[in-house]
Amino acid sequence: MSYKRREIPVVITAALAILVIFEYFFKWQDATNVSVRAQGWAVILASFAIGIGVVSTTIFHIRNVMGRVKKQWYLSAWLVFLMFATIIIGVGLGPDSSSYKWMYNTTINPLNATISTLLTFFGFSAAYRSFRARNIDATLLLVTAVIIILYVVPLGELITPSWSFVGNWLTSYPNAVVGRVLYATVVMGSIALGVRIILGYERGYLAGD
Amino acid sequence: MTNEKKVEEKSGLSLPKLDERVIYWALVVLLLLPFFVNMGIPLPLSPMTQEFYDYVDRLKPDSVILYSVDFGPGSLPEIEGSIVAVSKQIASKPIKVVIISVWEPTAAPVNEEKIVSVFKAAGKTYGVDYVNFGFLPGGEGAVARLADDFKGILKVDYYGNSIEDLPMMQNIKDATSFTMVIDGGFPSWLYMRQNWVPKYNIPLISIEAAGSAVEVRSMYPFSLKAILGGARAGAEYEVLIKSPGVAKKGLDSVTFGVILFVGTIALGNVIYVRSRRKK
Amino acid sequence: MQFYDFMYKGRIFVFFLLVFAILAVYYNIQRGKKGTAPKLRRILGLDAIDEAVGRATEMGRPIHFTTGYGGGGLDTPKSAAHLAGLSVLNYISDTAVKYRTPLIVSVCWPEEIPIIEEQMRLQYRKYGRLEEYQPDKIIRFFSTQSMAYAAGVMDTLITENVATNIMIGWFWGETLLMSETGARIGAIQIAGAPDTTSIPFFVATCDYVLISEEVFCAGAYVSGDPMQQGSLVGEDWLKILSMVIIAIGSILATLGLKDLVMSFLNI
Repeated sequence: MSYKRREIPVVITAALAILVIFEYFFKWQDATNVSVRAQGWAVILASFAIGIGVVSTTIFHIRNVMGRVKKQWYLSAWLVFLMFATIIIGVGLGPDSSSYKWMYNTTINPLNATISTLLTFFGFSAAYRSFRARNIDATLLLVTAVIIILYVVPLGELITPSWSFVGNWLTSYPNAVVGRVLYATVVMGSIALGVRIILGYERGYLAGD
Repeated sequence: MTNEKKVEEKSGLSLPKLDERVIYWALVVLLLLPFFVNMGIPLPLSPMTQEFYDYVDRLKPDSVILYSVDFGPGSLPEIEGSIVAVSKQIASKPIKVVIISVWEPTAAPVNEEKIVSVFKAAGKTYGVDYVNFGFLPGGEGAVARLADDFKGILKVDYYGNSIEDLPMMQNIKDATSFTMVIDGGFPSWLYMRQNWVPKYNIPLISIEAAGSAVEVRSMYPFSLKAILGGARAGAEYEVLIKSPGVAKKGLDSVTFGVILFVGTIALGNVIYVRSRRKK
Repeated sequence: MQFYDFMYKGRIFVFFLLVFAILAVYYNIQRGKKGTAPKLRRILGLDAIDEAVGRATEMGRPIHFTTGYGGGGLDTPKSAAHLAGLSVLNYISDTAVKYRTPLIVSVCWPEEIPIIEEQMRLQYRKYGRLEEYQPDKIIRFFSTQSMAYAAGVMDTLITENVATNIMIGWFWGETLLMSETGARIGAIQIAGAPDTTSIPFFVATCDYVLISEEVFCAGAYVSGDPMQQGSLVGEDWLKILSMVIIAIGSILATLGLKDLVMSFLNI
């Protein structure tokens, strides 16, 4: 990477990061205006990136079609057709049009729900495979998991009324404490990563050195 | 794990050889059963659900609440009961509601179908009793600006009406114009929590899926005043508002699924312990 | 002129915490430069990356990498975890290109595509094989919707018969779908996420799991860069300060001085 390719993005990133942080703490309307504008740019850039995704997907699947990849090429052709049909209808008729809404409600909604439902079955096989009392830690995990899962449904309280007390205690104390700790460490990790990025020591987002 | 599998296969009761599809079919049957046969499983009321109900019940007439719901179609099987029941309770009260989604773009049609329809059925007048702004893009930044200048960022509603033409929006300026925020969905509650609660001290209560409810529990009772989590909470809410819906049947379905789940784990552990003893 | 004329009320305490964090990280980066920063503890999941990549190379099967859906891309607060994942990808791609191991990167947020393309291009150029670089065969963008993305990843894992599946970033409902599929095909799996909703599923299905903050130190750890590792020590200083504040606050609150604590925190 040349000097300009390395240093200029770092300076831009640092300047915008410092501005946004500054604006959060200090009352300075000009800084707020620039910060709001910059955050808007980020949203616009991310939206433009969808175009890159469309191009990348199209090239990959067109290659499958041209190469007649076994068991794949017709699915790729269907995907490309649907993708562009959705884009044309959405851009041409608008996302509020009845055609677009019909397309959305008859394809994306049921498909989303279907894939979500797979989670149930996968949860079963994952739990069956991994919830074994191999040692003390695993046994403790297993017992806690069973207590919580029976607390979430009325079954636990049908077995004994004390079940809700135990379940409530587990979710309110150990779970809440660990949740807060993990949340705090995530925040601190993000701060450290942010400082490394601002100071230019973290280059992963610049594709490295 | 490889060694355990070998040991299990030698134990004579090797469940790993049992086709998983047997368990899956058993699951399908058990999940569908409550929809055809009334199970009548008792449902004790959780204190958290009662607390959520009380928060909504205590709202004074002419209060304005922000109802920010971000559940897409994939979450509906679990959460529909909660959303509809809470909407019914809100619709039964003389309060004003601003409906919006701030994170999930696919939530706007869901809100139109599940929430707005409840208000219409309750005889509420659009623009006077409730307003729907659809999806607000921009993530947390937009939510922060919404708190500071509501009309600065929202110009038209979901149907294209100018915000100035909506009677109930005349006195809405910023977060201080709202009495409470009811949020649904993860991570939109985080946006509200970080931008509406600390600066404006607005009470925040949240409707969550079961998995997210466990995570957001760590924020109770400081940032979140009450949480309605999962299918069970929805079923309890339907009982509270005396309006049975899909949540109770769904909960019975989940209950049977849990029975099979615990049974499968127990059977797997019995085989495992037996095989270890044989070894 | 009053203090609150130029600073927002309720944010001043946090401001000083942030200043401390920045100074601590910067100071320890300098210590890292001089080689005097403390050594990091071993993180099994990150040590296993070399083993996992080596396994894929020996078997001649691809490595799969993804940073997840997580509810937001690089323009949201989830970006920190996605960037941490991309730092690990930088390390993985170096080895993959060096030993000609096929690498597939599944992308949920398209703004990551230019970053990944540039990373891969630099790696191929580093090893003098720029002519072999085909971004469309490496990078697969599926969708910005969680379940559609998960369906694409599941298909990729199965049809490409990956040997190693590395998932480091921020995940949501798609977690179990992807990790269970990887477990079923017998891939060695290393996963890491900061949020508590994903970690249990990873623990149940993956061979190695990075929990919470281990994700953010991944880039520094695998690169072995002493300056980056020094910054992690600075992060630990912030944690120690937080623990002290929590302890003092808890004691004062127990003594009935909760209002004093809250008034101090809300300066």
